[in-house]
Amino acid sequence: MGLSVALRDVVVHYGGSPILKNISLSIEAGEGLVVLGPSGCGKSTLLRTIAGLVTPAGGRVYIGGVDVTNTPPDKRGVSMVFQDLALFPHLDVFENVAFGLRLRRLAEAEIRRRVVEALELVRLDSRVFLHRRVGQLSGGQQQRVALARALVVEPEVLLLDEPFSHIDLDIKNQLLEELKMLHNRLGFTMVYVTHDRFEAVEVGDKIALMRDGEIVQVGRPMEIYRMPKNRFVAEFFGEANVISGEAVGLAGGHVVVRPEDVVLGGDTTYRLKGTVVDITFLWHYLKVEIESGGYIYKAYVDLDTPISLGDVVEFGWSARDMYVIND
Amino acid sequence: MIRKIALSTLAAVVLLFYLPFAAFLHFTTGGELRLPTAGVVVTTLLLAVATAALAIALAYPAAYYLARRGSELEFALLVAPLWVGTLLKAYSLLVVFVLVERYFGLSLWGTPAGVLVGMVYEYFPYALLTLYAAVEKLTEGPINAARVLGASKMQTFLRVELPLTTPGVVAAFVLIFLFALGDVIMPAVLGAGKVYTFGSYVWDLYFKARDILSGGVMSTALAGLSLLATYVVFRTVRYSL
Repeated sequence: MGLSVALRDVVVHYGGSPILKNISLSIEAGEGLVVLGPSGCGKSTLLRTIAGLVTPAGGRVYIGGVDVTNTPPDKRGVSMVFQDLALFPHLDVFENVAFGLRLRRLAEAEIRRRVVEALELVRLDSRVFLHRRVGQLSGGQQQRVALARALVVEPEVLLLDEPFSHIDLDIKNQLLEELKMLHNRLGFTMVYVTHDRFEAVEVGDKIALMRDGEIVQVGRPMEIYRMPKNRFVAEFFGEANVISGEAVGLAGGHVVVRPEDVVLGGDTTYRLKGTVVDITFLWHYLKVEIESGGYIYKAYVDLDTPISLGDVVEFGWSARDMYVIND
Repeated sequence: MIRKIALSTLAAVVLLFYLPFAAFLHFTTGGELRLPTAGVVVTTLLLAVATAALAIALAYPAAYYLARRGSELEFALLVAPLWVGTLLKAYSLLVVFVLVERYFGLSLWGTPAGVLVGMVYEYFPYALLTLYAAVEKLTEGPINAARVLGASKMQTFLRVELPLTTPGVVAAFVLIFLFALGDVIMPAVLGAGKVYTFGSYVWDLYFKARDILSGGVMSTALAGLSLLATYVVFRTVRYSL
């Protein structure tokens, strides 16, 4: 079982400007948390702070309940997969994976057994790849080596910094699937950083949304999707129609309506009329954009809906599919 | 166009550098080939190896520091001796040697140690520049990875940073070793005639014994060795990076 991770009022500056502003966050032992946010929001810095590669200017970092704020990275018992992978170019696959084990002074036979095991875990054939130079591997294979290198030391906490950002979608989905299975099986605590919401829901039990060095909302994917805290969350975490409150008879604020809740025709609480300005085929539905009163409304409809560009349509949504936000 | 310029440069180098050395072919009737004694060869080799090793040992920490957080001024101060003539450096060291002898009772003039100090001083900037290029190319990725995987700062240096900069160390070693093999001025001035090296031997062949055949053969051998070594180094460096 993994160890819990907690940050309390963590502040990180870089060259005078704040990167993290008063971050407080708790991750339970064995939990898989995804930190999601646009680039430059400080999510990588957050991860590096947990790893000990960045020293916070203020606040405390706890791993397993122990204050590790001033503990160097090699004494924290965490493991990390880096965005640029950071494999050791002068070592072959075996020595890359064995790196952490050699530092722990294990017997040669034990090292060999665990390296082969770790490579199997990430589905790399050790008979083929053991003594390849890492420069000769494909992107997906390198990702697997990086993952094996991080897993082989049996970490209590595994940190992943956009580990799959540079590879093809198919391989990425496969690796995400495998990572999730490994997490369930091995029980380490996982913090996964990404800017991609599709990746986020694939691996995370829980998601923390970040913007401008602050955590905006933490919750299960479904909670965040249904009850976004503000406009940024609504629009960053899934597609959304964000409509001003006055338009639906509220005193202020905005309402969020997800495109799949927008119904064409039908008997709905709120009804509008508009012109279809765009239709996009998205595999299992059509995305229709309808202009009405200066807004572009997005709606997901069935593939066989009889609709074409320029049509004037009636559309609307039910009161229960509407979520009110303050800004 | 570029090819033409490159070819003419190459031709110029061959004409001006290798051809004069090969002039001995024209003087083959000049008599017997005079080989240096084993003592000269051994002294020269030992001095060259020691010079290269010491210069690198001193330059590595400096290059590491400069690549990480050194200022332009510090860089300039360390490399500046490169633009001072060798003879000038040799004589300035003589002054230092005199002072050292007076205040510390340590006699360096005319000893191999004195010559070694001079050659290290002379070639340190070359080591610094070569190593700086190697250290500067290190990215933080592998270093951070090593740290998180449990390596202390020292282990990270020994297991990651040093191996990744090895091509630079090899290049610096060969460069300085070759320079030092043919060095004439430092042994002549600081060795005071008591430390006799290959460079001095060739000098004496040409200008004292007027033996152009032997001088030519010796210089050509040295030039050929340099060419071979340079070729090997660049192959290694290119392959490993």
